[in-house]
Amino acid sequence: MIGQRDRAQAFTLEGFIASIVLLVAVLFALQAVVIAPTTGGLADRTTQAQLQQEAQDALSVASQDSQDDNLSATVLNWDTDGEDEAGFTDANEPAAPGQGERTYSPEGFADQSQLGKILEERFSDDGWSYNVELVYADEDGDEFESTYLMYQGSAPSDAFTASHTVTLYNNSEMANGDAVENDTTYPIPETDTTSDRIYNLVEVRVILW
Amino acid sequence: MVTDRRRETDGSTNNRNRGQIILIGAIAVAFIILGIVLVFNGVLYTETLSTGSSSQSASDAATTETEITQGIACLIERLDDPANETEDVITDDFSDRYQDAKGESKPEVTSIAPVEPENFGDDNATVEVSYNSNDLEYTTTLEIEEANCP
Repeated sequence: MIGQRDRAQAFTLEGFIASIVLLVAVLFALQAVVIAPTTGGLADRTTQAQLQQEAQDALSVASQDSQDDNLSATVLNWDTDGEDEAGFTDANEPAAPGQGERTYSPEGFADQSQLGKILEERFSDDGWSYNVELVYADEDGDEFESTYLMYQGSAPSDAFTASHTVTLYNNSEMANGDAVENDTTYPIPETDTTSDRIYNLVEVRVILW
Repeated sequence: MVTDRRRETDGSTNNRNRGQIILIGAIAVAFIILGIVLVFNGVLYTETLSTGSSSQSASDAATTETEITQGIACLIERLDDPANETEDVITDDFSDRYQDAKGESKPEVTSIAPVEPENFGDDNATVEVSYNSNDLEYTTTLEIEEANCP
């Protein structure tokens, strides 16, 4: 009797030890995979945060510039007088997929805007790619649409973004001197407002990779 | 050893066998403790890895202030009668539109409310901005002048 009970205890212990051996083996295998912060992508987290901040600063600087190529002037840089059909001034690159408006090359964008100058000097010259997207509310104000000022391809999953929202007013002047509310070719529509003073709010989004 | 025990059924042998089991039991407990240490170590490691940078939200808040200041300053510049009109445009349109535009791209809510509209002048306005995101919440009062428009 007593011998049998002791035998059961021995089996229990054996079970415990076997399970621990297995658990340790699994843990060892898991720990063997080194997950460093850089495992997921090219740049490490600190560098990425730094670059994102630089892109954000580029937008802030461009928005506070008092010259005629600041951020809101860039958004309103619409040309209806050229020989081509209406489009962003001197934009010669093909439109982004599914979009109607011609886009800029990095050099072309640098010629036309403060934002383009900063982005070209800091990022394009160092081999980075970026898209500049304009996101705005539609006529009813309940859905959002977007168009591209610059399109260098579809962004990979490790891209990061910075954005700045600019306000357009009904009497904001476009590059050709017309008030924005009178132009029918401009892709950004007048959104639904009660006071008829604010035209639309446009988020300028820089996607960088 | 187990077969030995089966054959010898007297009390003294049984006690010796029990001593072995206690020894093995102690080793098992030691392994269990080691295992728990390993598991906790792993959990802490994962926690350290998954903690993201939260410093970005502070710069988001600064961006929000700049956007609102510029939006309202340029609005004042464009209105015919800013002292009477600014408050209406902010409450009717700008506040809602701004909230929608920001909410479309980031998990944050910003509300803008005029403060002391009776003091709104031809070139200034005071608004209270409440900013809420998942890791930052604050309320601030912005005194905006027409000169803030770039």
